[in-house]
Amino acid sequence: MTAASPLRRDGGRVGWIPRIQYIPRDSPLHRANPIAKLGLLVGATVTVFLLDRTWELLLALGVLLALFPAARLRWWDFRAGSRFFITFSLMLMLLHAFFVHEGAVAWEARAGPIHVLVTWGGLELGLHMVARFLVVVLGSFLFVATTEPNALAHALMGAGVPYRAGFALVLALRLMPLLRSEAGAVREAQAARGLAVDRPGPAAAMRSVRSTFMPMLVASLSRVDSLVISMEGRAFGRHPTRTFLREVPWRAGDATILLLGVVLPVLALAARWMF
Amino acid sequence: MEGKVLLDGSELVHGRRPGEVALVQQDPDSHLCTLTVQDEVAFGPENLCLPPEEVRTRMGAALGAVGARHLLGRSTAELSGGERQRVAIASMLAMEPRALVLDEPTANLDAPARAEVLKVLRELPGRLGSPVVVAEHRLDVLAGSASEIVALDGGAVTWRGGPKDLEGQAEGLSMAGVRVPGRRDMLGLDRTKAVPGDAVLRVTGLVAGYGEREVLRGADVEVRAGELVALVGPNGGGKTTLLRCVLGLVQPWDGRVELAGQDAAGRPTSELARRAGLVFQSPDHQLFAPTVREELEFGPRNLGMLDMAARGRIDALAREYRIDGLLDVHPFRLSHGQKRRVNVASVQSSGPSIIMLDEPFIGQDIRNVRGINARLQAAKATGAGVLVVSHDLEALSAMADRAVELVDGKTVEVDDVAGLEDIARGWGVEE
Repeated sequence: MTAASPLRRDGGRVGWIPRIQYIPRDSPLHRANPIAKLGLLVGATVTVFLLDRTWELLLALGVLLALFPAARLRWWDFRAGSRFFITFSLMLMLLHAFFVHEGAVAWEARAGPIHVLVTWGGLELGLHMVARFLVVVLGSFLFVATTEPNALAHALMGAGVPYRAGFALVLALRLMPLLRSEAGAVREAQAARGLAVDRPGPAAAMRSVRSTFMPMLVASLSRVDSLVISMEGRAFGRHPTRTFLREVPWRAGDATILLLGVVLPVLALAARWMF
Repeated sequence: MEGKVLLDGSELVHGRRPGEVALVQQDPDSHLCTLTVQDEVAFGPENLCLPPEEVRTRMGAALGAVGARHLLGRSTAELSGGERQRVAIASMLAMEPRALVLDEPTANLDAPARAEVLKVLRELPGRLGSPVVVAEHRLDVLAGSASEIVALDGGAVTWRGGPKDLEGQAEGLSMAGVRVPGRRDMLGLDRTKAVPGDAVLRVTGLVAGYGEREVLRGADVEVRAGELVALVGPNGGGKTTLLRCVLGLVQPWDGRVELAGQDAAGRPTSELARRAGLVFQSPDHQLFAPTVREELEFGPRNLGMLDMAARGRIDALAREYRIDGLLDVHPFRLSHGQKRRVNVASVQSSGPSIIMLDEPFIGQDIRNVRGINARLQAAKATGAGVLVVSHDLEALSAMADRAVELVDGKTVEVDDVAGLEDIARGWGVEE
């Protein structure tokens, strides 16, 4: 018998879609203030869209990849997502290689009416787009993997985000695994009553969605109802502000990280203008 | 709404002071709104804008009152059921309420977790100096330490008295759906004589788990036609995993599952559902149709069995489960007890040879437990096998023909079903 499960308790998550989540480790990046890291992520993302030379993007990708071991993250940590990253990057590369015809011909083939042409310009643009995609996606992945969501919410509230909005993030983080588990339980109950949700195909998916909507809606509303009682019973929303026991520290290194998030796009802009 | 609620002689005004009367709900998962124990217990005092030092003092006192100071650095996701409920109670105590109200605080817990919470509840009034009100179907151990017991039925107070007055009132309370401690004779759970036939379910050497975690380590269970078998054990022992393996919801790593003599390996759940029915824990997760009638037809329709015989069986089940007057009602408009009856009937409507039930008595008063038991005993008489997983050992000891204990993924046949409650003492915490 095999170890694979046709219906998974996590709501039938497809295995190769990356599950981006916090990976607890002891590293300088993990200890850095979430606001500073968020600032750097935003700055770095803007920067990669300002860079128009492929070697610059490849350099940025190299620096980013070097941060993974510095954050004590291993290849094994993203095994679930690696298929997605590789498949999408390959698709991006192939699309550009076969459909962008710029510069000298790198490879050509003819078979009857079919003419396949790959140019050096197409290959370079493909590499450019792949590098940009990987910097943005892996950068976000690194941020999420090194930032405890609860600390992010508290850091945002500490930085002045209204606490009602900050707790919306905390509640989402609290409820997501519960709702995912409930969706899994509903699918299992459907299969146990003979609904062929465990067979592949759009028809099975439609059947499952049709029968899942109502129990999930009721379960969600019931849970929200209980949470409102629990939160209102503890004076949530009674005052415009609140105090916080938890403090997310801001260290000297955090200022450097945030500054880097500002400096990088400025440098990229300057480089575009000067060269 | 009419009438007044008085607290210490003065009328309670809603919203005047949050947390004046603190409510702890049945399901701690629906109560906890943050991700760590510290954030959860500090949540209320922080909302009151108390200075951090005062928040810290209240947090320490509240966690101390429920014996949970050691949980302070933990994430709420990694707590056990009993720990979660204790943290939920502490989170309300941190508001320094003048009264604490708990709605079936042990309904979702297994025996050790229940004992853990009951111990806290027994000690709380003395520690707090505030009244504690517990709404419960089961009086059990708590009755001994309650200063007053009030029975409600049909929206009115039907009896009130002290624990010492219980004995003379056992029959009346039992009729009102209350389970009186130590009065198993009042449960009214009849057991028809089993005439076991061939095995409808045979599980042999079952090994299964999730990821790298092994949950079942060679479990053996056999249920024959015409008998009701109880599957008992502490939380995490593998009971639910075993039921899920039978229906192919979890693929076993090793071992064999036979349904009515046929190997279940490699068959999809939707096919195994012809022979095995499973009633899941939460009533709401297994209601899919817009009316009760369509809910009862859901299984037979999916299995291509909705013929005249199935329709006749559905009409008979509706009468037996007293839901024949509700056939055109949306299932989500029903009460908790009615939903549970629809769950069981809708699994039986496909005519499975083995009916499995996972914690069917949670949140049910004894009248509903009696009703479900009566139908299961009737199903036995028609040749079905029944396998029940429940932490309600008192009820199981009265209704089961045999029992199997599942601890750490291994099964042991229980010698004396009548003494089922005694085996919980081996699971860690004594009630």
